[in-house]
Order: sequence, then structure tokens, then C-alpha cells
Amino acid sequence: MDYRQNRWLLWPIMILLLVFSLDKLAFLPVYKNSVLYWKKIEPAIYQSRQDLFHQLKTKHYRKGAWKDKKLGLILGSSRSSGFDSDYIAQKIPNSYTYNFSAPFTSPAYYDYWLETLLAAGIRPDFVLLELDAAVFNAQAIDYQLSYSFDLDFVWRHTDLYRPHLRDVWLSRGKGFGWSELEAWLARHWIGFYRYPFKPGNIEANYTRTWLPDPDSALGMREIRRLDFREYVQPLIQQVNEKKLGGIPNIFFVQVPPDQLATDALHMAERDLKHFQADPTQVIFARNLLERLARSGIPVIIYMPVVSNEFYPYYKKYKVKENFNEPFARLLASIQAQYPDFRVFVRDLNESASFSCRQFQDSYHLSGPCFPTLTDQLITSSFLQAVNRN
Amino acid sequence: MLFTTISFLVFFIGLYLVFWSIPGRWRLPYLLLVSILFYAAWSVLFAVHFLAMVAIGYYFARRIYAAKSPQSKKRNMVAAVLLNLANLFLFKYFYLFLTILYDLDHNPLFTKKVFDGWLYSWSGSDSLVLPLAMSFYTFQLIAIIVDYYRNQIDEPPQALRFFVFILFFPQLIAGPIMRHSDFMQQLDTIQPRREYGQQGLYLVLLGLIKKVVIADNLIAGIAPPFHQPESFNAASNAIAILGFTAQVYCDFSGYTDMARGLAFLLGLKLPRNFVAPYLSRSCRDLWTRWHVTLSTWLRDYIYIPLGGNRRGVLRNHLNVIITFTLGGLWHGANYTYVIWGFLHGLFLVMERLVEDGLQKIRGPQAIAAAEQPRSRWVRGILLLLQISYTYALFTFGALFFRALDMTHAMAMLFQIGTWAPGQTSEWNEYLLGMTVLAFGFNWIQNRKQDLILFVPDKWRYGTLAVASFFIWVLVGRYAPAGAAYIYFQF
Repeated sequence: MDYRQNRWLLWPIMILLLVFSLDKLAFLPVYKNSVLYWKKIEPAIYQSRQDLFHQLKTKHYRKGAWKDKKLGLILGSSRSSGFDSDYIAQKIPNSYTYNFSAPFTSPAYYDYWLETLLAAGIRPDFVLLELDAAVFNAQAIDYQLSYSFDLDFVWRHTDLYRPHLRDVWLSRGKGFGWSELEAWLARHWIGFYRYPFKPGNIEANYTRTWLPDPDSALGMREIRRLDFREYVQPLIQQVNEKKLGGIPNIFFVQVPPDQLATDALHMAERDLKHFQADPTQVIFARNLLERLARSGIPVIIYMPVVSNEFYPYYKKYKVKENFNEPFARLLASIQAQYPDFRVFVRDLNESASFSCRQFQDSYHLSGPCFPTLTDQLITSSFLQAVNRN
Repeated sequence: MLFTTISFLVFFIGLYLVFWSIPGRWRLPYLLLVSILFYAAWSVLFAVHFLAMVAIGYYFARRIYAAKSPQSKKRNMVAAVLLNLANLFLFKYFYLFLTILYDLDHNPLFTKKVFDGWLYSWSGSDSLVLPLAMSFYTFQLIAIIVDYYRNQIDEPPQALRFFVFILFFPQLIAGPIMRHSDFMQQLDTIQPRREYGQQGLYLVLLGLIKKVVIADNLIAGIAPPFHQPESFNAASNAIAILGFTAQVYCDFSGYTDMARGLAFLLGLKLPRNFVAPYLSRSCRDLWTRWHVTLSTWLRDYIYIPLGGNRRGVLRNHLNVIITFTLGGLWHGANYTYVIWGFLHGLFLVMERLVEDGLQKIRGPQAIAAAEQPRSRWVRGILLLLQISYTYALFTFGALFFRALDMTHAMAMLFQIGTWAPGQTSEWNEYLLGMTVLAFGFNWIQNRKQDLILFVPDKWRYGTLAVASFFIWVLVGRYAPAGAAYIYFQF
């Protein structure tokens, strides 16, 4: 063994250990709060979903006044944040709906939460699932690798070997590929990778700004921008407690058509032009749907309505051929396997009856349109399926 | 496994600790085992294929060594070389061959789609996949076989050393392309050397900066003009090419630095492959500094067998052009690589013609006198002109190297040549800055020794520790998600 005569052989390992230890300084609150850009609230929202789960488990599910109520679950991206639990309760009487939507999500995220809930003994009575091409591309998992999942889930759902298939829609497995496991580990275990040192962010975060504060005499309060996260935290908590995770709003936003057209061009270039379903998302979508089928939970799969300026790009870049049709085949194969699986697919993009088409951008419907959307999604046949459940 | 991934880091730490723990006689078998595992992590099937090719190479090397007659030696050498070239042709150039046939004949049978359909029906495979590192290991196998044929190797082939020589994982993916003399003797006694350990860590850190911090972050800025040259103005197109020269240098030399660094950490020295290429004074000088092991391979196994400069001036020029055209083709199965190689051959021939012409006009003494200018300023200006000239030619060739195809390459040339209007890329300043930084790294590489060796020995590991932390922070800041390595595709 050469180490005894040549102790310097261990120096590279010692240096690596030293650097890895110093790296943990990046997890100190004083550092990470300084470098994380103040406007970046996605980490807070993803964290709030853990609080939401805790709230459901400890305060609501089968407890007190909620004991006999039907539990609804919404799994989606920011495009599904506008659903109102109270409005859904009008459509599905004696129900309450938890909205686990978060920015930039994907089927992997949905499966994570469904599995977590079921493992905790929480069985939703109905699920509203947002699925379209945007959540199936390779980039869709990026935010969740940074802010969601846990080590156990990631490890159990990693395929160490994934064969390359000609038809990606035939992919099967546990879910993640090796590179996603690495990415998750890097983003959770390497501090300076998760919280990169950005002097520009530090400067921006320590700039002072004024924000509304009803408790102060001026009605406004001066804070450092990095304190914005603390400022927002109670609001997120309120959203969890009062609206069960959803952020329904009455603010009518209609962006001018020329801006929507510009946005549509950029989104189409980014998401549709070179769209290819990612095998990780296909595997998680399959596993998610099978889990729902086995659990006998009725599901609405809805494809979010996009702006009139954006929708023509769906035809131009053959989204129907590249996504809708293969997804329909995947769903049909699961329905063949589970004949009692009650699934309702709703794509209102070409529906003449859906008239509330006001958009904040190509993807995000304006808040006041969500009641109309809810009316269109929750049909009488779905209601029957829920009542039979 | 890329060198810049966590899984490789874990793999190497384990490998390193075991390597220096086991008795010396077990180190070669252990190196062979880990090298096979490294390759098999990409594909078990192709690892078997690779081992089979090495085994066949070893078989022919033994036959050549043992052959009594020159004819028998030659037969075995030719068979081995042809087999390796056939293997390379099938996996790498078959689709290009189909494209050429289709371009000539327009027969739909000669399309990738039809061939892939047939392949799928016969084997269940979508398409022919280029095995990892095939271009590199094929050249290395050919080199050792031909060296045995030329009686340049005294000792008989020995199985374990032969396999380790080809399969050694740090140089497997992207070179350097090794020769017998570079490596084999080192395998007799692999001993820990303190200086190697220091150089190893230094080169790994340097490679990380070049590859992760610089090269990987240039991709997003370079791609748009290369994909849609007609949308961007002339300056943006030109700057994108400059940015690409920074990217390809930092990417390739960075990865090579890491390969050399890892080998040093295991007590083995790999040859240098880059010696400040952007500080070259001529194209001839460039090819003694850029991908050095490839250019010497081309010289020894293509240029010299073609006759080199022993068959007259005209034939010499032709040999140079053929050699570099084939060198371009080695890089990839696309017309653009062929053009790139051809251009470099042409540049070399043109330089030679100019030199010969000047010599005839002015005489050799005048040439020598002209190369000894009197003042430092004149020397400096001359050097700057030479470097600029060589870099300009390299940049022109780089356009073809990076272009998606000839149509895009021509479009880019047109935009630049006609000073066409278009949108200005927001990346221009960044790309220019990175190009300057790439020249800075060339200056570092121009030293005879690695920079760490200029630090007194007792401070070296301390310096490396401090540098490691800063580079760790930099890599954390600038690492994009898993960018591939350019030469991986070869």
C-alpha cells in the first residue's frame, strides 16, 4: 500500500473533502438569502406545497368538519393555480379541493404528490390533472429537480439503465434517468451549485424598496428587497389556509394582441418547434395514470387553453401528431388494462362553447375565466363518476 | 460518463483509493477492469464490440511480430488495417456513403430512412449508432499494428499491456491518440510520483475551468447564428465564428487537460495535445500545436505512406492535401468536415509555395536575415501579424467545422462577405470576451511546464486547495446543465 510511504497521495482526497465541507457554507441562511434573487418566489411556492401537504394531513383529511367531505386534488403548473376550491365545491357538493399546482411542473411532480398522498393514507376522491405538450418536454423537470422531490423518491424512481426506444411513448420504467438523479443530487447536496455566487443578485437584494403595509401609518413600508420573501410568506400561508393552495383571482388581465403575438412566437420557438416527448415524463405519466386507475380515482385530464395567437402554432408544429395522438394511444392502453378507469379528457382549445379567452400570456388564462373553465371541465358524467366513487 | 459529472467523480475517487492501495502487480489488471467498466457504463453491447476489436488487433499484432517473411507481415498488417477501417466505415461513414450515392443517383433506396427501415425490420435497431471513442481507438489500433509491421517495436505484444494501452479510460473518449512509445514503458512500473500528483490535480482544475466555465457557456451564444445565419448581421455571424474557436479550444483542450490530469493522478503521463495553438505563427506551426497527436498520426500513417515529400514537389503538395482532407473526414461524416480538412491542406500548400517562391527570388540567406529583425518592436509586430494571419485562417476553416451543412456554411459566408444587415446578437460582447480569455489560456499553455510547478513544492498542495475552492464556486456559478463535449461525437 503506497499511502504509508506517500501520504501526499491522500492530499487530493483531503482537498476534495475540505472543499466539500466549505461548500456547506452556501446553505447558511445569511448567504443563501443574499444570493437568491428576491423576485424568485418559486422555491417558496414549492416549499409551500410541503406545508400544504402537512396541513391536509393534520388538519383536514378525515378530520372534524372535513371528515365526510370529498377530497379533490389538482395537479398542474401555474396555469392551474387559478382554480377556486369554493367554486368547485359548488359544482361538486360537499367537497374541498387541494391545489398542488406549482410553477413549471411535469408528470414527475404529479406522480410524486399522488404517491406521497396515497402513502400517507390520503386518497383523493377526484383529480384534475393538467397535461399537454409543454409539461412533456425535457426542460419541464428542471424546476422540480431544484425544489421538489426527496432523496427516497428520486432513488426509488431511478432507472440505472434505460434502453433507447424508437417510439419514446412505449417507454416504461421507474421514471428518472441517471442524469436526472445526478442533477437532483448536485442541486441538493452541492451548496454553491444550488445557490451560485452572484454579486449582481446580492446588490439587487440589498436595494431598498417600498411595499404596501396596512399596519403602518403610511400604508407602505420600506424593506430590503431580499425581505420580500418574508413579506410574501404570510400571503402564501393564507392562500394555503383559505384557498387550499389555489390562487384564484378576480383581476382581469388582457394583454394586447400584438404582445400576445410576440410572446406566442417565442413560446412556439421554445416549446413546440423542436418538441420531443421526454422518456422520463412519458414514464411518469404512465405510472401516474396507472396509479390513479388502480386506486379507482376518477380523473379529468385537461389540456390548458392557450391564447388565440399561440394556438395556430400547434397546427404549424404538428402538436396533434407529436403529442395528442401518441398520448391518446398511451391512455387507451391503460384504459384497456383497467376497464373501470374513469378518465375524462378535455381539450377546450377548439371548443366553441368556451368563450372566455382572456390571457396574461400565451399559456396563462386570466383569473376571472377560471369559473367558466371549471364549468366546462366538470360535466355531469364526471359528477356521476365522483359520486359513485 | 463525462469527466464533469458527479458519477464520474465518485467513480474516480473509489478507483483512485483502491489503485494506490493494491500491490503494484495488480494495478494493470485493475486499470483494465475499471476502463472496461467505464466504457460499459455507456453501452455493454458496444463494450463487447470494442473488446472484440482490441482482441483482433492483438491477434494481428502477434502474427505480425512472429511472421518470418515480409510478405506475411504485410498481409497481416493490411488485413488488420482494412478490418479496422471497415469497422469505422460501417458505423461512421455508411450514412455519408448513402448520401453521396443519393446525390449522384437520386435513387430513394439510397436514403437513411429506407436503410433504417430495413435495419429495424432485420435487427430491431433504429439506426446505426457510432460507438463511443471509435475514431480515436481505431487510429490507435492502426498505429500500433503498423508500428509492429515497421519493426519499430522491439518487444512482442503482451495481452494485458496491449488491452490497457487501447482501453485506458482517461484518453479513451477524446485522446490524445497515443503511440506505443508514449505509454507502454510506463506500464512496467506504475509508481506514485509527487510531481505527477500535483500536475494531475492542477490539470483537472484547469480543464474544469476551460470546459465547464467557458466552453459550455458559449454554446447558447454560438448556436443561433450558425442555425440561422440569414437572420443575423455580418458582425454577429463573424463573432459567432470567433466564439466557436474559443469554444472548440476550451472544450477540447479542457477535456484533454482533465484526461492528462487523471492519468497523472494514476502515475501515468499522457502526451500533450495542445501547445498554445492560437499563438501559432503559420499553418505549419499550427499543426505542431493543435491536436498534435492527430497531426503526427496523419503524418506517419497517411502522408509518409503516400510518399511524403520524396516524390517531387507536385506530389508532395497533393499528399499534403489528401492527408488533411482525410484528416477532416476523420472528424465527421459530413461534407463540411471534408472542406475544413481540404482547406487546411490548401493553406499548408500555399504557405509552402510562398516560402519556396520567396526563397527562389531572394535566396536562403535573405530569408534567414529577414527572420532576424533588429528591434524588439519589429519582432513584436511581426509576431502579432503572424499570429493574426494564422488565427484568421483557422477561423475561416472553423466556419465549416461548426456549420450544420454546406448550405448553412455558404449562407454564413454570404452574410459576412456582403456585410449583410440583420439582427445583432446579444451575445456579441460575451463571445468576444471569451475569445480573449481563450487566448489567455493559450498563453498559459505556452509555458514549458505546467504553472503549478513554478510554485515552490511545499506550497503546491496549499495553492491547489485554495484554487480548488475558488474553482468549485466558479463551476457552481457557471455550470449549465450537462453540456456534451464536442469531440464526443468523433
